[in-house]
Amino acid sequence: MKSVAIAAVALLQVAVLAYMAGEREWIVRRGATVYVRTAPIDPRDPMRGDYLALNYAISTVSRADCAGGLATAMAHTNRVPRGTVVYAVLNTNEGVARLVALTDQRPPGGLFLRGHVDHHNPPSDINVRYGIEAYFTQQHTARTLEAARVRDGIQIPLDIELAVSTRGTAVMKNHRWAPLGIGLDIIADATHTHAASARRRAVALIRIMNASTTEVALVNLPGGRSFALHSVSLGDDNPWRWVSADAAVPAPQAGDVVVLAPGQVHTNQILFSDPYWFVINTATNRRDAAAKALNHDDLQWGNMFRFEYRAPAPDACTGLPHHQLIWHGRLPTRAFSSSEWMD
Amino acid sequence: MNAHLRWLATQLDEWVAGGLISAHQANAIRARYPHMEQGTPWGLIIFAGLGAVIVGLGIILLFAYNWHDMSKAMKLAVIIGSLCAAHTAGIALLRRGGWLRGLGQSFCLLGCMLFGAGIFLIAQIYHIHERYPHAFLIWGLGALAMAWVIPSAIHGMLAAVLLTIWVCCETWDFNMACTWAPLVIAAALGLLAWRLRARVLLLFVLTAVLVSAASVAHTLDGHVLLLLLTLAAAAIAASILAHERVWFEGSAPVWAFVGWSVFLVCCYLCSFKDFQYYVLRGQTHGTTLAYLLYMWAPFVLALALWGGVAWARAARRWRTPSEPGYELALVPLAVIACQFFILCGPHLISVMAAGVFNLVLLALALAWMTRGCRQALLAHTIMGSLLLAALVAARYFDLFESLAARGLVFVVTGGVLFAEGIFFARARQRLQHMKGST
Repeated sequence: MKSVAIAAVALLQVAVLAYMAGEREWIVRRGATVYVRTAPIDPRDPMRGDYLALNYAISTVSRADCAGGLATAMAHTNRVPRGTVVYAVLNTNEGVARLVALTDQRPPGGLFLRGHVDHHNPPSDINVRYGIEAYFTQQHTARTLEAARVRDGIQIPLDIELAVSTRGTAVMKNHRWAPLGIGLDIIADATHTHAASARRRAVALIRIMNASTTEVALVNLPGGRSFALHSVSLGDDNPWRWVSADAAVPAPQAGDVVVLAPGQVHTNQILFSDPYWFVINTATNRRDAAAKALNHDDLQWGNMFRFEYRAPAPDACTGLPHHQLIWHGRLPTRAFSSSEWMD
Repeated sequence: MNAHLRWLATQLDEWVAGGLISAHQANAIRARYPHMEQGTPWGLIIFAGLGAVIVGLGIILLFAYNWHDMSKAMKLAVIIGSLCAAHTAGIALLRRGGWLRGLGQSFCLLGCMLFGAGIFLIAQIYHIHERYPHAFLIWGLGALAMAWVIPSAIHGMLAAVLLTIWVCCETWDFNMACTWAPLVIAAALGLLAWRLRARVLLLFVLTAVLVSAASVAHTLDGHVLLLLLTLAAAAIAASILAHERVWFEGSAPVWAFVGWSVFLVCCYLCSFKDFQYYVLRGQTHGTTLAYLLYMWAPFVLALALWGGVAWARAARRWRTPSEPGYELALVPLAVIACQFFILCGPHLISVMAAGVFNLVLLALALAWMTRGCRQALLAHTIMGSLLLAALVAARYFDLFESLAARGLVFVVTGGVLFAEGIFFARARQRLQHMKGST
């Protein structure tokens, strides 16, 4: 009788392992496939070995992207408790998944990830964990992968392939490097000796590299109109918003298509003095404030921004030369502040 | 088999060889002590168990290397196959009985280690990075179930360690107070220790309960020191009752060791006036069930157990002629004082609170030294002297600013210890005379 009981406990242990592996294997084979963008760093776990700690673009969610009870809590600057179950509704039209909304109510259908609130300090963004923040690799391989992330100062995004169940559980299947990488440098005007004056005439140099092994084309609209500007909250809410967020983007022309050979870099220059890139303070008591340049003294070091390359939709590129080579997706730069500090 | 029986077993063979007793008489003596021949093979269990734990950890680290050349199916087959093989071997050996039973326990322990390795391996294969303390919880529950069905103290020890790691990880890394966890650990593993009369398991359980309860209390913003002090006082009372009532033979020294160690350390920390600031501050008006459970339940338990000690003393129900000393009354008094100071809050002068604990330690030290010298008890004399020396060393830094005062205190303490040595030697001599005359 005792042997039967011991065997039953042993079988229970095997069953637990079989369930853990079986559930994930089922998702890998039957789940919907999606790519999510991430930035890796390399730590080590004593029990599971080396892994890349992954920080997904969908892991930090702003108030604007929250829905349901989360939006209500964020509007009242209430802290969303740690561990709250949330669902990230995704859109995969651009190849890499983009967050449509983060909600505390399970969506009735469609593609979504189930996660937990990791931390939230109002009024800053919510940090979410989806249980896929570690990519375990053979020892020392993680460092190699991390080193491959930056080439000549240009960051190559890492896309993780996920299998997602209908309940929102995600399992990592593979990874791939994005075909294009992006780098950002803020350059002060060296012709001005006065420090403050030089800073006011700063420019942003955005370099886009073809990190793949084949030719890739991008659309470079005149005046840097292929780029958008996003506010980033670092600790406190960033009240500064881009004045041209709703401005119409011109349709791409044949001369705007730039074909990049493997390893080739295309550089764009954005002048901070151009009013198109000005920002305005949307804080309640500052609604009448005028638009300011990104490096104006009114902006604090914690008010951070990032540029984002936004390729035109595939429909808009039909008829353009090399349209089959045009990469469709979004490519954000590192975040920067008025004091030229970068994350 | 205890040390005396082990000594007797070796001596019997020598006595027979030396012609002091016959082989028949030796067998008759052996028959009088049945435990002499069929004791638990603790040596085998401990070394084989230690080996199983180290092999299991080695396998975890081996898989942590995460070979790319080894397929997912192969990794799963190796770990689940090893788990099945270890448990099958364990069950087969457990059925044999004798010393093989100990080996069987070790194989089952290896199986439990492989179960833990399997959890982390599957997390590694499928890149699962969810709440990692859950892995320790599942692993600990697996070991706990095995501890009960075998039944096995060494599996219980593994479960105690794993469940403590689970509680600590939940509280430290996720700020999640597993309020009921210490009670569950105490019930599930304490009952097993009692059933097996396993003192080492009891030591693990008491340590696990204290560590996990302190961890949870810290997360609840409760008073960790008060909790530890009260639980230690309860353990000391339990040691007295266990010794006198014999409801868990041999457990009294374990209760006493854990209780006195924690109690003295807590009192010592409370004797520092600067430390009292941290002791007295904190939440004092919590109304949640969890807060009340951690603030008042140990206090009520400690007082109830000390009430039991007092009742047994008043009713003269002691099994042994030596009654516990009156200085033991300082233990519940210290707990009541600590609770009182915390309820009074931070506005209470911390010097007063620290002073009370200094007096408690001083009284305990002097009582133990006096008792040791009167009854020639070496352990009491040493403990009292060490406590006094530690107290004087602590006050050297924070109480006496004048070098003259410090010097005087050292001279007095040295004189007391010198006199104690003389009194102790005389007591020993008197005791030997009495033994000689009888």
